[in-house]
Amino acid sequence: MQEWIDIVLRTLALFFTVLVSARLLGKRNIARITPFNFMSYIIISVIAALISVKIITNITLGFIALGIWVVLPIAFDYLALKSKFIHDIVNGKKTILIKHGKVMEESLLKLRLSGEELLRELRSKNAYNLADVEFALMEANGEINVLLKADKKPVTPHDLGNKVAPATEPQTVILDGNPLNGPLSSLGFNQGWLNSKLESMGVSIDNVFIGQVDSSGDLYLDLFDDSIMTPQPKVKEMIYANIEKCHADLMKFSLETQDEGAKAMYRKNVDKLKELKEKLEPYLLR
Amino acid sequence: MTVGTQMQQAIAGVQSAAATMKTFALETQDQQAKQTFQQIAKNLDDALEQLKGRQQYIEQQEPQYRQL
Repeated sequence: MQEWIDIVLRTLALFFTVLVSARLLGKRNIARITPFNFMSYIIISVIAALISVKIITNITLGFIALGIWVVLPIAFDYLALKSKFIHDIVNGKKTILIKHGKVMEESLLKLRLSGEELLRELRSKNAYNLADVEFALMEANGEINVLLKADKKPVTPHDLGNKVAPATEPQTVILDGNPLNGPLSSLGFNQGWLNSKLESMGVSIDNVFIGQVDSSGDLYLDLFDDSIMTPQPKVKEMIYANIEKCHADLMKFSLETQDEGAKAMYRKNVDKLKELKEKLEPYLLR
Repeated sequence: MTVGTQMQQAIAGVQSAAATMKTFALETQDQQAKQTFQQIAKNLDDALEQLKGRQQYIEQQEPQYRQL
């Protein structure tokens, strides 16, 4: 057999083998793998390259080596799921770098991490001031994670005592001028709804690059023609303003009427509406 | 009609006007008009706060105005 045909066949075979084994090894983020995983990936690729260009001439032996390097990490991953001991051996352990705001110098020495490097990592986590850091640790993959002191943490609605409406992920329903049926139906809408919405905004679907629907059913559009101004969705604010107006109107009626029965009725409904307004405020305004 | 009731009437009127301005601001497509409406709504909201403060003061001074 001619040499080049041999190389072509080997390369084709390995191309698909490597493709399949990469799928089998999972889709962990390549930048966040542990050193051992990194090495096993490199070894797999080197073996594949060596077989492909015929430096390893015996194809069977090459595939056996490749197979072991693919199967063993997968096997250890499964074992690591079952046993904490094996997990620590395979993935390594986390190391605590800062505890109660104090730097653990021995851990830094063990990791061969200089103070300058530690500060750089902290800065990349937005902790410029060492005094703000309560706790920091190095994960098994070398990433440093930081817990800020309780009074330096970003404020959340919970801290402010505010109630906010639950929000789920928005769905993209139009892409490149084409309606996407899957996301639409998962929201419980259909094309008819989309068409009527677009019509009320005065936009044709061919002109829409991206259209997203958020969890409250508002449609946001980005058009190809950026000179056209689309009305931004304000449905919720509108409902709230209307409730506010009804509340004020009922209040006015209750003060103006001479009939005691009607006055009491208006009063009752004012209170009801006020209660409703307070209940709905987090959902409609925030 | 007592001063307290008159006060309440005034508050309800301002509240209603502010809500109307807000709906106008949300409905209009004209950016300038939108801004004007929002400004008016804000002014009315400020006035509303002041009126409510005044009403509280009146109720404190003259508790009989509390009930309608």
